[in-house]
Amino acid sequence: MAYTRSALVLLALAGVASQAEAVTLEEILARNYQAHGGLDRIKSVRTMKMIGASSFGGVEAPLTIYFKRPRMFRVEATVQGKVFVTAHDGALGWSINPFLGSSDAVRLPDKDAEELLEQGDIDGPLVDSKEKGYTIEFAGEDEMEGTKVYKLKITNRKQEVTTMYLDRESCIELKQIAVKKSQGVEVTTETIYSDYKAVDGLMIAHSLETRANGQPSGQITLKTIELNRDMESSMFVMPKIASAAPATPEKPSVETNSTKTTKDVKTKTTKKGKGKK
Amino acid sequence: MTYVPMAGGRLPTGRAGRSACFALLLAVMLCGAAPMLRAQEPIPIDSRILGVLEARRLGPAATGGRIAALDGVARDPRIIYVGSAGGGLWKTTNRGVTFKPVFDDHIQSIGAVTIDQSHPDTVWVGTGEPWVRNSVSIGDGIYRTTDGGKSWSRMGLEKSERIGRIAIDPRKPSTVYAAALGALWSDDENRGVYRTTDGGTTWERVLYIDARTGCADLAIDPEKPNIVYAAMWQHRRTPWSFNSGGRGSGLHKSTDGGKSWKKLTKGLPEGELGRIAVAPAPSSPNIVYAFVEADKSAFYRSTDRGEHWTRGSNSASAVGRPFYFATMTVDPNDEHRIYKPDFSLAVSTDGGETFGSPFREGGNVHADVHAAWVDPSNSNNIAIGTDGGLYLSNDRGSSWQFVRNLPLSQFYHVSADMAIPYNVYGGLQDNGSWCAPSDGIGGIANSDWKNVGWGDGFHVFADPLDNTIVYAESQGGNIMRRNGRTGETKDIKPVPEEGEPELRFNWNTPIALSPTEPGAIYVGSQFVHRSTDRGESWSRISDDLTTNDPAKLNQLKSGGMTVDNSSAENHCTVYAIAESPLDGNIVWAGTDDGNLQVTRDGGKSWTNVVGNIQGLPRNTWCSGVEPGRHDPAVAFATFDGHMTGDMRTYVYRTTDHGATWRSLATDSLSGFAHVIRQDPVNPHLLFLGTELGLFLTLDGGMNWGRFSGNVPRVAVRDIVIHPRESDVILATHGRGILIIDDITPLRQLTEATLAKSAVVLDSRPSVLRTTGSSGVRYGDEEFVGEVPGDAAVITYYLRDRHIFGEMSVEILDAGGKVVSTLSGSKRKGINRVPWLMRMKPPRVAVTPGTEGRFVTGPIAAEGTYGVRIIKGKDTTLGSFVVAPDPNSPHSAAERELRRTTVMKLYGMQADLAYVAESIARARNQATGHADAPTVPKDLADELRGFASRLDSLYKTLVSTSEGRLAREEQLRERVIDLYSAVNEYGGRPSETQLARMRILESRIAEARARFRTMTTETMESLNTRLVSGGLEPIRPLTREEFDKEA
Repeated sequence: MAYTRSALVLLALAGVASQAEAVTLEEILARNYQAHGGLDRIKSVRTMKMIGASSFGGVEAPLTIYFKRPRMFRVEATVQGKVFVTAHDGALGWSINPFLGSSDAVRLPDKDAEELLEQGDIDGPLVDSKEKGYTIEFAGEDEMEGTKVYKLKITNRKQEVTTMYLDRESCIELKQIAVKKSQGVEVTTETIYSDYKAVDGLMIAHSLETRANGQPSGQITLKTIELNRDMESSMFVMPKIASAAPATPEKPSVETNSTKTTKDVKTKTTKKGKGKK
Repeated sequence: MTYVPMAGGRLPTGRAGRSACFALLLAVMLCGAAPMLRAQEPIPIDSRILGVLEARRLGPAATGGRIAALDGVARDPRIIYVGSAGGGLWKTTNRGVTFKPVFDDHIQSIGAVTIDQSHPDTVWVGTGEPWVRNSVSIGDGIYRTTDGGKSWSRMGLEKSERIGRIAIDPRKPSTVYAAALGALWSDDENRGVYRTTDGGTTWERVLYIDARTGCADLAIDPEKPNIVYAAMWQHRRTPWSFNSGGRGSGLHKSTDGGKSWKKLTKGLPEGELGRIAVAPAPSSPNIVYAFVEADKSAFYRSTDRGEHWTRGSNSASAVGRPFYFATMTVDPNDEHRIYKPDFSLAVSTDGGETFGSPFREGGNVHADVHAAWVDPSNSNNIAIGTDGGLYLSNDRGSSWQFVRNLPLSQFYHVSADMAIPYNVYGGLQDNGSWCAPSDGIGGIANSDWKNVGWGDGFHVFADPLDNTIVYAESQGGNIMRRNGRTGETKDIKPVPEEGEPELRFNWNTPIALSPTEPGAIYVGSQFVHRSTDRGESWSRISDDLTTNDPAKLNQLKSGGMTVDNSSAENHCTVYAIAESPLDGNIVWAGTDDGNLQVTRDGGKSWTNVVGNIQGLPRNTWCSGVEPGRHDPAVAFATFDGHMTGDMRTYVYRTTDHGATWRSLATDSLSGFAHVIRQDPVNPHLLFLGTELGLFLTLDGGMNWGRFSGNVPRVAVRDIVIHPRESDVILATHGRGILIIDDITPLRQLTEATLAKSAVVLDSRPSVLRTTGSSGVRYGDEEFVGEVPGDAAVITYYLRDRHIFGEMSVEILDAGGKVVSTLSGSKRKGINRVPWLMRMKPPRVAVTPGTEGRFVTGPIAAEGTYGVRIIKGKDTTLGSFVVAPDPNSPHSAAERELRRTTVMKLYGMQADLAYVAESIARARNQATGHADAPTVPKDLADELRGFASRLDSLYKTLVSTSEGRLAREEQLRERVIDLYSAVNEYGGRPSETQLARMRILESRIAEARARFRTMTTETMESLNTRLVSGGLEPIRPLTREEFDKEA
C-alpha cells in the first residue's frame, strides 16, 4: 500500500492541529481501525502466522509466531537448530528452553503466563477494549521523538497502565510503553512498531523493537505473514511428555515452512491483525 | 551586520587601548570581510534533528557530588529521594541499592524535597540549592509529582531562584509552605514565605521582610499545624564578597497558618543576626530548637513552642559556616537527640546543651554535611548528604556506608590525553582531581577512577609528552605536578618575584597547556605566567591584566557575621587563558572582573579588547575564551554576569583578533555561559556549555539547538573535543563526565543533507578489538560508567520517521556481498545502529541433546565496508572502515593467519553439519520404512540394522546427551571449541591449534567416507528391495539441498 506524505498533507494537518481539542477518543480509534484496513477486516482474522527473525545482541534467531482465536499463541525461535517454544492455549502458558539443558515443556509462572495471554490477543487492546477489561483514555497530543502523536492511556483490569502512541497523521501505532509491576518493582517495556505493510488488505507492522527499562531488549523483523490458514489447536497445548522438539534434526514443528503452501481452504477471507503486541 | 561601534566611555586606556582603537579602525575599513560566515547557510537545529545522539555517563560515583536535601517515605523507608546541588533529583526504592534520576526534564539544582507522607507518591521539590557557596547553581520554582516522580508539574514560584524548605500541613496536604530564599546576587522581591492552600494552584507571599531577606528555613508544628516557624535571612553574594546577616534576619512564628507572624526574640541574641535553622521536635513539639548565627553563634532551645528560648551549645563542631550548614534534624523518636550537619556530622543527645560526634565504629565520611534524614520507623537508620555524596547508617551514625551509585560529581574542568583509549582528567567541587580511562572492559568502575589531586579540584592536565606527569591544582592557585609512578606531588605554584605585589589567584585558577609547544604551560594570577620546564620556573609574560580594583580586594573581611575567607571570593584575577593552536604568539586571557586581553607577540604586549564588545555590561566575568581552530584571527568568548544577578547568555565571536565582535546569542539559548568550543574539523560547528545545559550550532552561531540526549539541564562547565576520537567530553557540575561519542556525523549536517529523506553519515573508523571480560560482579549498588562497546556504529539521518514499508540497513563487504542485515532505529533525525563486526555464525550440526555451546560469528575482516539503507523503493549508500586495534600486539600477517584459520574452521563446521544431517536423515528414513506394515520382516530387520549402524556413526559426530552439564564431547563439540578459541583471540593460532585443526579435519573426512561406504555397501541394495516392494528408496541428502535449507 503506497503511502505518501506531501507538503499538502502536512498543511492540511496543521489545520487539524488547530482544532486539536475537537479530537475524541472515538474518532482516533475509528481512524486507527481504518488505518489497519477496517474493523470488519480486523475481526475476520481467525489465525495468523508470522515468519521472520528476532535479533538481540548480534544473535539472530528465525522466528515463527502463531495466533489463533480466541487466545492461542505460540512462538518458536530457532538457535543453532534448537527450538525455543513459548505458548499459551488460553488456559495454560508453557515453554521449552533446550539451552537450559532439557527439551521438556515446563509450565510458566502465572505472572508470565498472564502476560503471554495478553500477547495472544490478535487485535490488541484497542479493539473491543471494554470486553477485554481495558479502559482507554485519550491522553492528549504530544511529540514523540520529533513526530506528532496522539497518546492513549490504556488501563487493564489489574490497573496496569500502557501508553499507546499513535502517529497523528496516520493514526497507526508507533509505540507503546507498558509499566508492569514484577515482584513489587516497576518494569517499563517499550515496543516500537514500524515497517507497516498490507497483508491481504490489513496493515501490519513488520518490525517490532523492544526496550526494557530503556535498554534495547530485542528486535523482531517479520518477512511473511499468513492469515487464516488452518491451525491445529493442539499445537498451543502443553505436551504431556517431554520433547516438543524432535529427537533428530528434523524440521521443528507444525507447518513452519512458508515455502510449502499447504492448501488453504478459505484464502479469500482475508483478515486483520495489527502488528502490535 | 557584524561591525560594532565603540561604546562611549568604555575605551581601554594606555598602549593597549590605542592599539585596540587602531584595530577597530581597521575593522571598519575591512568591515564585511568574513567570507566563511557569509558563505554559511543558516541551519536550524533542534533535538529532533539530533535524534538518537546521546551522551554516555562516565561518572565517577567513586566520589559523590554535593547533596542538598533528603526525604524518605515514613511508611516505606526504603524509598528515599535525594536532591542534589547540581545533578537533579534521584530516587531509590531499595534503600540505596539502586537509584534512578526522576527529574531530568527540569532544572537540576535542588533545594528542598518534601514527601506528602499521607500520599507518599506526592512529592514537592523546590529548586535552587540553599547552600549558597560561590559555585551554587539556580532554580526556577517549585514542582510537584503525584505519581512518585514519573511526571512533574511546575507549581509556581518561578522567580524564587532558590527554595530552602517545603513544609506540608499534615492534616490538610493541599496547604503547603515554601521557604523562598530568593536571588542570591541581587535585590529581588520574589522571596519570603509562600503558602498555598489549594495544592499549588495559587500562592500567597505570607511573610516578607525586604528585597534582601529571604526565608532560609521553616517548619510546621506537627501537632498544631497552624503553628509555623520561619527563619528569615538577609544575605548577598557578589563576585568578590559574601555577606551573611543584617537587620532582616530573624526567627518568626505564626499561630494562624501564616496569616500573621510575630518575631521571636525572648532569649534569642540581640542585634543583627545571620542564618537561622529551626526545628520542632516531632515527638514533643513543645520543644523547638534553633541554630542562630550571630556574633556568637549558638544553639537555642524552647520548651514552649518558641515563646522563650534558652541558649545551649556553641560548640565549634555544630556552629560552623552557617551559610553552608544551617540545618538540623531532630530524631523523630527522641526529642533530645539532634543531628547537626556541619563540617562533620555533629550530634547532641541532651537537647542541644552539648554536641559531639556520633562516629564510634567508623566515621570515614566526606566532610561538609548539608542534610540528614532519620527514618521515623527506626531511628537507627540515618541518611546524610555531603559535599561528597550520600551515606547511610544503620547504627544511629556510628558507622556509615557510602552510596556508590550516584554519579553526581561536580566538575569544573576536563581535559583528555592521547592514550588509547584516552584518559579524562578533571577537578571536582571539594572532591579533588581525578582521572579515568574513557573506555574499558565491562565499563568504567568506580575503582577505575584515580585521585590525582586534593582539595577542590579544577584544571587538570596530563603532560602531552608523558601522561604519568599530571598538573593539578587546589583552590586559590595551589598548582601541583604529580608523578603518577610514585604518587609524589611537587608544589609548582608561581610566587611573586622580587619587588612584585602578592599574586592573586582565583578560586578556580586557570592552567592551560600550549597547543603549539608541548611541555609549555600557562597559569594565571593577576598576571599570566608561563613555564617551559614543567613548572620548575615561571616567566611572567604580562602586566596586571585585571582592573585591580581595591574595592574588590577585601576578601579578609568577606563573609558577614561569620568571616569566610576560603579564596572562593578572590577577585581581580585572570580566569581564562588560551593559546591559539595556529600561532603560539597569540594568547588570550579573560579576567573575572571583565577584561579580555590578547597578545599577538607571545606576551610582550597585550590589548584589552573587551571594550569592543557591544552590549556586554562592563565588568562582566569572562568565563571562557576559545581561539579559532581554523583562523588565527578568530576567537570566541563567553561572559557570565550571574554574580551580579545578570543571567543572560553572553557569547561572542571575533574574526579580527578582537577588534570587532558579534554576539552569537539567540533566543534558543538559556543559562549563563561557561564555555564555547569550535570543532577542529567543521568551523561552523560550535558547542556551548551554560549553567542550563549543552547547546550546539551547525552554522557558526546563527541557530542553536539544545543537546538533550542524556544531557539534562545541568551546568556544563567545560568541553573538550577529542582530536583523534571526535568525542565531545563534557565537564558537568552535577552529573560527572558525559561523553558524546564520535561527532563525525554532525560535521556533515548541511542544509542539503537535512533535506534528504535518508542519508548515511560517515563515522570514525571502527576498531576491531578482542577483549576479555572484567570478571567482576559488583552487585547492583555500584555505578559503572558507560563505554562505547565494541560495535561499529552505523549512523544515518532520516528526514521523517519511517512508518510504512520496509526499511533495513545492509552491511556489504568489499565485494558488495551482504554480510549482515540490521534493523536500525527509524526515528526522525539522526539514527544509529550497532554492528558487532561479526559475520553470520557458522552452520553447526544440530544436536538432539541439550548441549549448550553457543557459537558466535567470525570476527569481520579489516577493511572498508559499504552501508546500504533500503527504505521502501529507495536505497542510500555509504561506507565505513573497520580498522585494526592500534594497541594490538599482533602483526598483520598473524591476524591474517588467524582469519584464514577461522574461516577454515567455519567451513569445517558446515561440512560436519552436512555429514551429520545426511546420516540422521538416512537413519530416519530407514527407521521409518522398517516400521511400515508392508515391509517384510527380514527387510525391516535389515533396515533397522542399517539405521543402527548409522546411529552409531552419528553418535560419534554430535553429542546426544540431555542435561545442562552433561558436557558430552563428540566431533561437533571439538570443532566448535577450536573454532571459538581461535576466533576469540586476536593473533596467531598456536601450533597446537593448527595441528588440532588438521586432525579434526581428517576426522570429518573419515566420517564422510564411512557414510559413503555404508551407503554404497548397504543402502543401494536396500533401495533396490524397497523400490521393488513399491516403497520410496532411501535418498541421501545432497549438499545442494543442505545448503539451500540454510
